[in-house]
Amino acid sequence: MQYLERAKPQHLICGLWAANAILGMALSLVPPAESEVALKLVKTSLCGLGLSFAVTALTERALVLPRRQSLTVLVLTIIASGTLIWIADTLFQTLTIPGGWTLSAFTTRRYNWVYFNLLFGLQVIVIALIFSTRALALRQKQLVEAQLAALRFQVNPHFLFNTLNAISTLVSERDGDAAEEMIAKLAEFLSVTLAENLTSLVPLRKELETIQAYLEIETVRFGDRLKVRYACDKSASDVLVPSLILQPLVENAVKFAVAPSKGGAVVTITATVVEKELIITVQDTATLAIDTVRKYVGAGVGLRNVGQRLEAQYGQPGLLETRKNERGFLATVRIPCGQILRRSET
Amino acid sequence: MTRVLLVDDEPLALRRLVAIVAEMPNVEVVGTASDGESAVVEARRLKPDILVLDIEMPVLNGIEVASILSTECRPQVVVVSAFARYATDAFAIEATDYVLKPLRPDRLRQAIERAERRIAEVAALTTAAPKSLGTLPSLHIPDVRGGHDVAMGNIKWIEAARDYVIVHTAAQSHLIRSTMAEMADQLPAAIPRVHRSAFVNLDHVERWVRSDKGVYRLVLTDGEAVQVGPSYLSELRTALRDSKSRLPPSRNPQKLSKDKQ
Repeated sequence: MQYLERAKPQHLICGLWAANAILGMALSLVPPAESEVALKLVKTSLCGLGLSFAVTALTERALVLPRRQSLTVLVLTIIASGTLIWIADTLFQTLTIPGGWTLSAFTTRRYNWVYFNLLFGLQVIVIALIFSTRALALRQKQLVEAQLAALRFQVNPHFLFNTLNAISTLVSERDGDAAEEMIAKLAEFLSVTLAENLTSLVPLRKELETIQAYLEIETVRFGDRLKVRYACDKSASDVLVPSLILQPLVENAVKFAVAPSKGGAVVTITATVVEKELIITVQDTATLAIDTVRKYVGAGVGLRNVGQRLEAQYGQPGLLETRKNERGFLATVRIPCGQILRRSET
Repeated sequence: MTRVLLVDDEPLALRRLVAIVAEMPNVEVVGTASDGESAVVEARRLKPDILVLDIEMPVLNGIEVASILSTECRPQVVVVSAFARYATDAFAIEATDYVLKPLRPDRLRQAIERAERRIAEVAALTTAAPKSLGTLPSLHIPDVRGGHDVAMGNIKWIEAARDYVIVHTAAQSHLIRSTMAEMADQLPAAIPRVHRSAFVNLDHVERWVRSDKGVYRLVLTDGEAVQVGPSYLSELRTALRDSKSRLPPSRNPQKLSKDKQ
C-alpha cells in the first residue's frame, strides 16, 4: 500500500515497456532467430513508451470524472492506444517486406491487437490504483487537519474562564447544589471536547446532549438573556454525525446574538430527516434588534471549519449553508443518512 | 469613603464583584450596571471614584465605556476579564489595573487599593510629569498614543494573563501583549522569574513566607503576595541572599529572613 503511494508512474511505464521489449527479444531468440525482429520490437516499445505518457495523463484526468464518464474515457483510452500501437507494430513488421502492407497483414496479427490492449489495460489499471490511493491518502490527511483545526475551536477559553468564574461565585454564595450542577455540566461538555478520538461519529441524540450541556452552562451565565428551544424528529436521533459538528454554530449564536444584545436571544435547534438526508438548523433570534452590523470576526473561521469537516467526511461540498433572515441568523447542516446506528449497537 | 461602580453583563459575575467589594473597609458600592450603555449613564449620574468593568458587554463594550468616560468624569478604571483571544496589541484603555477571570478576591482587593493610591496621588498632585528617564533602565509600554516608558525600578511585579502580561507598579498597572519568555528577555537580573506566571522585583520584596502546605510566597511592600513555583525556589534563594548584601546599612536585614506562617 505504501509503495503505491510513493511509486512514480513514469518508472512503471518505462519498466512495463522495457519488459515488453525484453520479452520480445527473448522470443526472437527462439528459432528462427532474426535480429531484425528484435529491432522492430525495440521500435514498437519506443512507440509504446511515448503513447504511455499520453495514456497516463488521460487516466489521471479521467479519475476525477464521475464514475460512468470516467469508465468510458478509460476504456476508450485503452482501445485507442492499443489499436494505435498495434497498427504501428504491424507496420514495423511488414513495411520492409515488399508488398507486405496489406489488410491481411493486419488480420493475421489480430491477436496482437488483443495483446496490446491488455498491455495498456494493465497500465491503466496500475496507474488508476496509484492515483486513487494517493487521492485517498490526501483526503485522509485533509480530514485530520480539519479535525485538528476543529479542536482549537472546541475548547473556547473565554467560555471556560467565565464559567469557572460563575462557579466560584456560586461557591462563595454557598449555593453548593447549583455549583455542583454547573461543574457536572462542564465536566460532561469537556469530556467530549477533550476526547481522544475526535474523528468519531456519534448518534445525533448524543451530539444534542453535548450541545445541551454547553447551552445549559451558558444559560446560567447569561440568565434570562439566553433561551433555548429544541425540535427534533425521533427518526433523526439515531443518525450518525461527526462529533461536535454543531458546536461552532451554537457558539456563534451565543457570541453574536446573545452576548451583544441587552434583551438576549432565543436559539432554536431543529433536526428532521427528509429524503435520506438529515437536516439540522440552528437559528438565533435576538429579541431586540441589533443595530450595529453583526461583526463576524471569528464567525467566519468557525463556520469554515464546519464546512471543511463535512466535506472531508462526506466528500461533498456545500453541506453547510448560512444566511441572515428576517428573524436573525440561520445555519443549516445537511448530512447524508447513509450511516444510521442500529438498535443493537447502542 | 471610596465610591465604586461595578459593571458586568453576567449576573453571577456581577454578584461576585459586589460581594467582594462590599466587604472592603472604606469602600462603598454606589451602583451596578449590566451593559455598556447603562454603565455610562450610571457613571455620569453617580460620579464614582472607581469603575470596575468587564470588557465583553452588550451595546458598548468595556473599552468603549472607559474611553467615553475618560474625557468626562475620569474615574479610575479596573478591568476584569478572561483576557482570552483579544486581537489588540495595545488596549485602547488606560486602566489602573487588570484582574483576571476567574476572580481571586485578593487580586480584586489589591486592584481597588491600587486605584485608591492613584486617587491619593492625583489629589496630592504628586503624579510625576512625564520626564525623560535618561539612562535609567526602563520598560516600554505600547499604547494607542505610541507608548510610554516605565522605570524598571518602579515595577513591583509582573503577572501573566493569557496572551498578555500585566506590569504592576505602585499606583498603576499596564497591559502588554507579550509572552512571559519575551518579557524575560527585557528584564534585568533584579526582576527574576519566580513562577510560571510571575516575575518579581526583588527590591520590592519585604519578606517571604511558607504555608504549611509547602507553598512559598513572596510578600511585597504594600502587602501583595506572589506565589513562588517549585522549580524557581533554589535560584530565588540565591538571588535573595545576594540582594541582601546590596541593602543599605540602615535596613534591618532580619526582614528578609524566612517567616513561618
